[in-house]
Amino acid sequence: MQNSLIDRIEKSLDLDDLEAVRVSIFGKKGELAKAFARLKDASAEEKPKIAKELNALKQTLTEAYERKRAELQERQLQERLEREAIDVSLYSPRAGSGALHPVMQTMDRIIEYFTDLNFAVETGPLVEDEFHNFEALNLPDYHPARDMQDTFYFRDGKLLRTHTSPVQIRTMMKQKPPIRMISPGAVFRRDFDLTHTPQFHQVEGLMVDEKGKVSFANLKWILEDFLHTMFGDVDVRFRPSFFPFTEPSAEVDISCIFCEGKGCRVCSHTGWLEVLGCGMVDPNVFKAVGYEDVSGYAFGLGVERFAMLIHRIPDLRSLFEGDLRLLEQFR
Amino acid sequence: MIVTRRWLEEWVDLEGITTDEICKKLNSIGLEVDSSKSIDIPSKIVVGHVLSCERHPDADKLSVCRVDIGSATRQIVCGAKNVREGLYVPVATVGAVMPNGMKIKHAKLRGVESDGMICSAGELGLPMTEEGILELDESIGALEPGRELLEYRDLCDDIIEIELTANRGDCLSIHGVARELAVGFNRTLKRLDFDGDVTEQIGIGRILQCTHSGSPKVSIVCHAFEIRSIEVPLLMRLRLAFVEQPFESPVDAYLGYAIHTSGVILRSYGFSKISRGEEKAKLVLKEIECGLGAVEFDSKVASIVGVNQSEEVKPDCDEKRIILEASYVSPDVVAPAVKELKLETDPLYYRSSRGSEPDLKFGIDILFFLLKRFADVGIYAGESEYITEKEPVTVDISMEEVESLIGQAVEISEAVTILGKLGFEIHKTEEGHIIAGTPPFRHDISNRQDVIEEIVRIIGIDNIASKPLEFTEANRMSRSLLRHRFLREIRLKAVSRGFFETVHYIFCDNKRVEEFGFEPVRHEKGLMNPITADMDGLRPNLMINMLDSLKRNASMSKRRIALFEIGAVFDSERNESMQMVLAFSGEREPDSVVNAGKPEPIDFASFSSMVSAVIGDFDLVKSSNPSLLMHPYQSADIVKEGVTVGEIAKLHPAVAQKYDLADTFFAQIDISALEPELKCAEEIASLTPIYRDLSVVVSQSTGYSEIRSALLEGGLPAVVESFYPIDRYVDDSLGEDMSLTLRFLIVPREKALEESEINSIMEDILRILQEKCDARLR
Repeated sequence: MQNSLIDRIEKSLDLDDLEAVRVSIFGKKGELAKAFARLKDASAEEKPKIAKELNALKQTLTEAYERKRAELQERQLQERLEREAIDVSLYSPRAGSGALHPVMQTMDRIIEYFTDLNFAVETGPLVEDEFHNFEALNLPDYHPARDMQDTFYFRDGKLLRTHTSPVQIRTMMKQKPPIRMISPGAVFRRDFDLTHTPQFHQVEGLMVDEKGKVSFANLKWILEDFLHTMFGDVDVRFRPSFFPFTEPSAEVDISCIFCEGKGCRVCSHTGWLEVLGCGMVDPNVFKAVGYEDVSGYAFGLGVERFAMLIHRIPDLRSLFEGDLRLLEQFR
Repeated sequence: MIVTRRWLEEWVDLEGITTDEICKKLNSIGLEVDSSKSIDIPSKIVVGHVLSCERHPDADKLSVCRVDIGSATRQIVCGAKNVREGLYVPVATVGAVMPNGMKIKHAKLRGVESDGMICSAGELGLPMTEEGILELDESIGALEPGRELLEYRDLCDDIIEIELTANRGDCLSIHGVARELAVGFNRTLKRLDFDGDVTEQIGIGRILQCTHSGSPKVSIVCHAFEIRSIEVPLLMRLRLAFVEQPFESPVDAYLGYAIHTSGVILRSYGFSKISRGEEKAKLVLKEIECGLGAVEFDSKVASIVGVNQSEEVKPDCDEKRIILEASYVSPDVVAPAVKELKLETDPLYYRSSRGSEPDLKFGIDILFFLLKRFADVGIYAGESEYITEKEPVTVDISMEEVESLIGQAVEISEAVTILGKLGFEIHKTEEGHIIAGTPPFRHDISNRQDVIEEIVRIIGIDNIASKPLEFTEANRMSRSLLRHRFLREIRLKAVSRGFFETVHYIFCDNKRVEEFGFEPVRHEKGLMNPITADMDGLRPNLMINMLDSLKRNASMSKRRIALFEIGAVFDSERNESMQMVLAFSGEREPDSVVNAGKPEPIDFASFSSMVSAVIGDFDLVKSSNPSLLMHPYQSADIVKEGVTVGEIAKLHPAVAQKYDLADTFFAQIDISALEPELKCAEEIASLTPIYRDLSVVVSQSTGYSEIRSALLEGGLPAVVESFYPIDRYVDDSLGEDMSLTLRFLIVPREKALEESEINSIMEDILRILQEKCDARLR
């Protein structure tokens, strides 16, 4: 009997089938119940022996059942998993996230560098007056350097700021030294061609402390470190230059990142790319804001230029056109 | 400013220094080199002497020349009009390869043998100094037939273009740049070898009478000369072409050359133009406004010193008697005056506004030296002058200050050497101080820091060791920084929802502003000089310019366009505020196998949920005053904590059509109204929360916002923590009504709620709705 019952368990095709077999063997009217029922007809001396045999049989059958059930469950799970198979390669996600604008990303990185060095961030209005934008910066209205700054004027004499330097003036007039700040933001010049847009972004920095404390050597250190952070392993060169609001002034070049200084179209075959202007704050600027016995440095850069160099963006004007064919590349 | 190496070499010895090294030095001392190029004349091009020149037998425009090229005489056919007997010309001999790659071969032109080519300046790679072939003369050196042209160094010059900063008027001359190089390379600046000897005995007083009235702050010196014959030698023609200085007459060329060499402003007057047939010309220097001086004749203005000159008084080409005027006016006087008086200026004003050379005699000497050498002139003895003495500027420089500004020590002897070579007059050096007078030609130097700048640029910034600054700790978490970080968080949230950041101009088209019913910036406060007619206004909101980007992308077959921007907007009083716009056009999600390539279009609900993922939860209230950009029935105010912070809407279908856009939604948020907030945790109830739905029938005209406020204001039981709509249903049987299902979250506080208690809560809610909104149970 044992073999035929085990055979029935083994031949179950699925869990339903096995359940039917279980009822037929272990159920109230099942084979085992019947066999145990016959026990009462056995003689007293045979009883324990038969009972023992029956219990052993029940044990064996239970084990066979459990084994089969586990096997069928496993098979059923496998079948389900197989049924649920999909072609995962169909679902590579496309166009999931958006992206920050390359100029704004670059601005964020620049801000992050300076704030990590404990610079404060200051902002100011876009509509400015002559005093904050020019005069306080040692640029009287006949100054030849004003030729360089084609300014948008309003009919009431106000103007759109041509650089973020007025924020430095505002901050110095509001706070006492020491000052350690950057002013990021949009600026405006009346210029519109392949390499100029009427609106672009600058980050300018200012450091002011007691007289004798801030030197050109300090300015060099921070700008060299900053440019290495932004552009990696490049050579940095300082060229004396002229800005009305700083003295001594310098323009800062990095070795061309496209040709590694060998000379190419981007660097006009000079091997150098101009990226920054800087200098020691002119005494006339300190005078205009009422500071005495201080020393300081200032620097300024165009964010679009940085973004175009870092991300190899060929066309300046495309940055203001919201064109997804450009923006999607920064995802 | 353009200079040439050979021209510089007349003033400073550059022996053993390559042109590359010159450029490098110029850059390092603050004269930025824009470009540098060399003239390379190929070999086998030699000096030829035209022995004879005859008309070609079969061609009117060709000449057959016999040309002596030293080693031989060649027959060469030439097509230039100016070829003639006796000329010295460049001859490209057979085998020469021209700069354009052409190889010179033996040829036959209309049956006549030609052994080489007589060249024009252009064919040699030089600027065209004249039509036709290049006529050589001895201004470039002795002319020996057969000598290779590349041996003439004035022809094979190196041309360097310098981008001068506005303060360096002193470098607007060859002499000025040479002076800088002399300091940079530590060499000596040469002097002009000319004694100014005027051989003529007739005094200038015979023909010119100069007077002045008032005391203009200018200096002028007048001379006169008689022209017997004048031609412009090749060297001058060539160099003026190198430095892109055109001239109209020989006198003009000599003046231009002397100005470019010396930096002194020189002007010429035709004697016949100002003498009015009299024996003597009478000029009056008259003080006009702002300290300027006008030169007048016969009560007419001939010129304003440093500013302009009347065309009427310039000499004609055949004028034989020339009055020469050298002048100077300080840029501090002339620049504000020109601006103030709105004077017209001529090209020389560029020099005077940046500071021309005040040593007038130097410019005059150079001009006379050139005239004596290359032309035949008679110079009148004496001169007539009016000089305004310049206040000398003396500066006291402390070496300690130099050290603290630069960040490293400089030897006092080194500083003295540098300043001396730069033209400073060293008055005294003692105890770490230098007392020095600034050079008269350096208008840009007036204080100590200016002088330190000079020392720095000659030492070379690259030779200053960089040093990190030691500074005091301070809290620099300015409001602007916190704001930047908060906005960055918001920007990143927008990005993670699939939006792309854009930047648009703050300028916009006022016509469009008005078309959409917004108020442009008031005229009196408007832009005076817009760059283009369609950028004449300032944007009143961000969406107005965003439309162009949406359109551009739609036209580029983008099916799903999600853009955002944070930027400044302006009201009619031109007050600035910061706004954020999120705009979504087209398909809600990317087309893919998931949606069988046909995603649903964006709708109000899904767009709103995107916006809330960016700026947090908010309530929507039917828009009280939708703009013309908005769909009047799909527009809402965004309300956060009871404050309206923005608006959200479907783009008006008429606008969408105009810009070729699919269904488009946008939200404009007053970003300054959003603040990062620190949340406080509330106690979490230990009992299980219960959800209950309630369906009521109300009039379709009842907005959900009314139902919402009715419940909030009508005494909702405290255990109801929140509620929200989950279904709206309309069918014929309901007529003008609708069925609205709300879901309530009930959070028991102290004890679990019996079913009967929950029912009573729901009855309370129903009662509020019945009373306030005329609702009935569905």
